[in-house]
Amino acid sequence: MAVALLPMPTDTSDISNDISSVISDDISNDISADLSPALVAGTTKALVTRDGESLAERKARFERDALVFTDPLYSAALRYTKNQHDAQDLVQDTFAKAFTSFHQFEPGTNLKAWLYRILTTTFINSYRKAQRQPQIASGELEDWQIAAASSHTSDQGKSAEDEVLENLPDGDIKRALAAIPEEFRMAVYLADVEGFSYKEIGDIVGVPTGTVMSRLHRGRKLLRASLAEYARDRGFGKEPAL
Amino acid sequence: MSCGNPHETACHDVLHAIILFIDNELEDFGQVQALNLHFQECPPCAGTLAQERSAISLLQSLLSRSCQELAPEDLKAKIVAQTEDLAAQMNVIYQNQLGPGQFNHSQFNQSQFFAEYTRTEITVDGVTQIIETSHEIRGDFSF
Repeated sequence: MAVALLPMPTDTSDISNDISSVISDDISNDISADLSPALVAGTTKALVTRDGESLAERKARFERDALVFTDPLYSAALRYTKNQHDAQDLVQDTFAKAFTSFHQFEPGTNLKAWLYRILTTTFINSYRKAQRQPQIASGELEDWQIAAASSHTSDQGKSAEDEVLENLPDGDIKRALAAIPEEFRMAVYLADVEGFSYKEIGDIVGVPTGTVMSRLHRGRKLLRASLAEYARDRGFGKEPAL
Repeated sequence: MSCGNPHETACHDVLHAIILFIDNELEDFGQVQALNLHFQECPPCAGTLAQERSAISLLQSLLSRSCQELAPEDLKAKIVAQTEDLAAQMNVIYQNQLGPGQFNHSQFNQSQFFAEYTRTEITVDGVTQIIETSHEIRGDFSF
């Protein structure tokens, strides 16, 4: 069974409304100085924002403030798409949309969350439908996985289990995270890798804070259970024979 | 789970809030203080806190170690080139829309822009140019 679709706007031009940035639409009558003299000398006026920012200035601000998030956005895109090719395209599309919407972003608000919101809506609108990845039948796996996690946690010494998990190779951890359903995977990634608050994650994926909380808790349990499985498969931390 | 002693905050309530406490998601400072007091008084709850905190922090450290890939350099170069190109295109579109003082930024929206972007004919300094771009914007930059 496919994971339920998140309620999302179908067009990323709506992004600003959801991430509480404000559109500054007032255009001053100032003439910008960044255009070619031929154009400025004509009858046309250059576009500036209310704050007097020209397009060239906006571009410089975008390059300075937004492009620094390329690495974390790429890492998040890998979590969404599960392959490098689509992840690169997704990040590039995200920055195209972000730049052409950048006048809607209010300086001083949460730019990183705004970019993640665009990444998420772009993925959902353009990539997810095209993906042919088999979805985990989450309903059946969750219960035993969670049960396994709980018993594992309570039955064994904490430090012993920690040591076992710490020895897992990166590939196992990536695969374990990739295998849990998307809504849980992204809640865990955004909270535990990127350090977003519940509220920020809610804004990014478009769900209430309470939903974020339950997805995060469940996602952590699923992941912990899955990592314990990987550890057992590798022969780490075997249960003592009865 | 209880130590058997009475507390200002019941153990049940403490355990209910323990993940929010660890994640720094409790907004009520009084509640945070009450929980801190409870953990000092109640070893079983303090033990649960330590266990949960350690499990979460282990998960965070494993994920941070393995799931923070760096973007390829050529992707970064493509994004820089794409931004340059989009800015140039936007500048042209703005110019076309600018009557004397008539431009209304609120009428500019992204879907219009992307539609324009694929088939824009512009006259600049008496020279007509057709901006040839594919529908897939990212396809325009090869390195």
